Amino acid sequence: MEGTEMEERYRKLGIRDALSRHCDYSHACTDLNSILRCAYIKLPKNLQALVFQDTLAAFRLLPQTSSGISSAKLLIRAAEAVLPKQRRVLALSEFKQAAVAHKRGSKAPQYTQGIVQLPHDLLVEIFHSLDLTSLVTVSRVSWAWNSAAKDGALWKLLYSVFFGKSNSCFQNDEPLISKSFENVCALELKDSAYPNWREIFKINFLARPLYSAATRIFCGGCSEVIWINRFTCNNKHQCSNNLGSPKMQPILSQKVVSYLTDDKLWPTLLSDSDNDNSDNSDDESSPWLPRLWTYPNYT
Amino acid sequence: MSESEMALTKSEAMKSYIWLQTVDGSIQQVEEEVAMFCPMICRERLQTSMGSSKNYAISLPERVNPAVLSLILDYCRFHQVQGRSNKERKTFDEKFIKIETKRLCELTSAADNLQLKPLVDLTSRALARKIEGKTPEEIRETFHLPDDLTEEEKLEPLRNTTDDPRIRLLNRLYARKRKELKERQKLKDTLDVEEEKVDDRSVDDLLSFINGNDSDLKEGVKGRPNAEGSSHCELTTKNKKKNKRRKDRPEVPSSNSHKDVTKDEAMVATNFSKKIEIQEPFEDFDMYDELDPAMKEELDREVEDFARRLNSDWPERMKEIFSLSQDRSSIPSSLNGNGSFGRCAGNGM
Repeated sequence: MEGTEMEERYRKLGIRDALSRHCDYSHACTDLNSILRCAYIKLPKNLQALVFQDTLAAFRLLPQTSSGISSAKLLIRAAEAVLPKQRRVLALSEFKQAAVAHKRGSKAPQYTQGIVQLPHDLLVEIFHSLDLTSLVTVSRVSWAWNSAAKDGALWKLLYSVFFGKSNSCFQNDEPLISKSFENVCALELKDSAYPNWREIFKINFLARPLYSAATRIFCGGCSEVIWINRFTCNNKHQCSNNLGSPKMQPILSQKVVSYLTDDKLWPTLLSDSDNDNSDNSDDESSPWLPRLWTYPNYT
Repeated sequence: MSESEMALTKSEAMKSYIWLQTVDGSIQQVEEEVAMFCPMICRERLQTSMGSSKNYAISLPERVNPAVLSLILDYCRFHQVQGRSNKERKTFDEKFIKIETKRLCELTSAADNLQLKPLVDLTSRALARKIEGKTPEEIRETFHLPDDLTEEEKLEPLRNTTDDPRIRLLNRLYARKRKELKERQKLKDTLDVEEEKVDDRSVDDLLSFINGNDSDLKEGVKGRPNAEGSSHCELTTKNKKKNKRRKDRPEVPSSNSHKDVTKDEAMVATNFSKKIEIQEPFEDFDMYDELDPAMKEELDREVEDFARRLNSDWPERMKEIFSLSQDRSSIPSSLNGNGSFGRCAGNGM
């Protein structure tokens, strides 16, 4: 009984899909890390097999980026520490294959020369399907891309996806950290005929640190767990329950393990009492501090 | 699959063709229904009734070159057939976009010109997948984009929206030069590791030498040998780094195996360059990060002091240094009385 529930929750975490998306690869690896280190021993047999399969998939899907290879290295260390002998050997061989392929890929000579200039509108079109992190990264690449990434319509659309009235990614009735943010926002909107949507978005986003640090949100309406990076301009969350404005809760990466193992946690989550009985002791007021040196010890 | 292909070949005899001309002048003959899949071609055909013969070929927009045109026509040819299932179309699409990035970009802009919306969506999403998750440097490598933002990209909001090409070019040059200097520094660091001790000592001697024996110096110097001595290590590393960031630096001799005092002196001397300006503050940011604020201010003051002094007395001092070093290298034994020089000479040889 418990086992199937846990499996259900694990499936909802959507790690396998996230691994195949470059923007979420590192986050998914981090989640796998914490699950392996903290919860693997306590999981039922079939769930252990699932986790192991996902670990192998992580190595097979290694993207050709520098952040990818470092996440994979952390993952293999966790796997080596936790997995039984046979699985450990398999994981190690997968990792080695992936690492070799990665090295070969990064050394491949650039035989395609020449710059292809993409027009401004086309760049904006491409950026419509980018997630938030990549959109900000892209504005640091070159001047042409920077000007395309600042497109007002793009950020207006993104604003409505994240903070819009209905079906929004973030709760919009959460009190902002300070009134001054709200005032600046209102001013920005009223002041000019062409409000700077990127600034408005930035203010709103930075005013909610809990959401900025989260990797997933939990939709109270359809009780689905969704990766934040899946929200792009082209992709909003259509809540299947069709409630007016469903209550959204951010899930930080540290909470993933407690989500998985603690049966009592999630039904009570919506009533705002976050009873954290696990060892993931972190301050609610500073959720973005990463745990640098230690993983919690489940005894 | 083969049956439908046979059916296609049978009806080919009945097909009508359209003539398309690309920007480089070459004319292609394409089946009408395939070409009509593109809205732009369709519109041209209907509005101007061109394309019915070789002489009146429809001329395609600038970005469509023959290679890309053939790709587009493949796409049209596959998709305009009604009887294909969604799964077939999807697999075709996925295989279709597995081409190199440059080709994909060309395809996207050509499809955009021809207003072929489904292909534009497909290629845009493929490009987005190539972009996401990468750092700016990796993106620049993949797409062969110039790094023409530099100091602006470090500051988050981009205030000025002037598109002055000279500014862009200048930024590009800065970025390239900075890269070169960084590489040079990396090279130097690997070679310098063994020699740190020697360097420090010789600089110490050098400083005391400058302070003690140079009569052209202003008074302030003699009174501060301790301050200089205590911070000479940091100053050395600091000025070495400063050296590396100067664009008009003469090439520091790479013969580091020589542990020559002359070379060290020349190096230190060139560090306080001909015109030391504490310019380009954003270049010095990385350096300053490693020292704490109190030390920073002290070093700032000292560097400025040195700069002032050296700028004023540059030619005379250079003469003094070089003449003395020459003497030292030729007759090491004569200077043995002075312990420090003997030490230096010993290390130098």
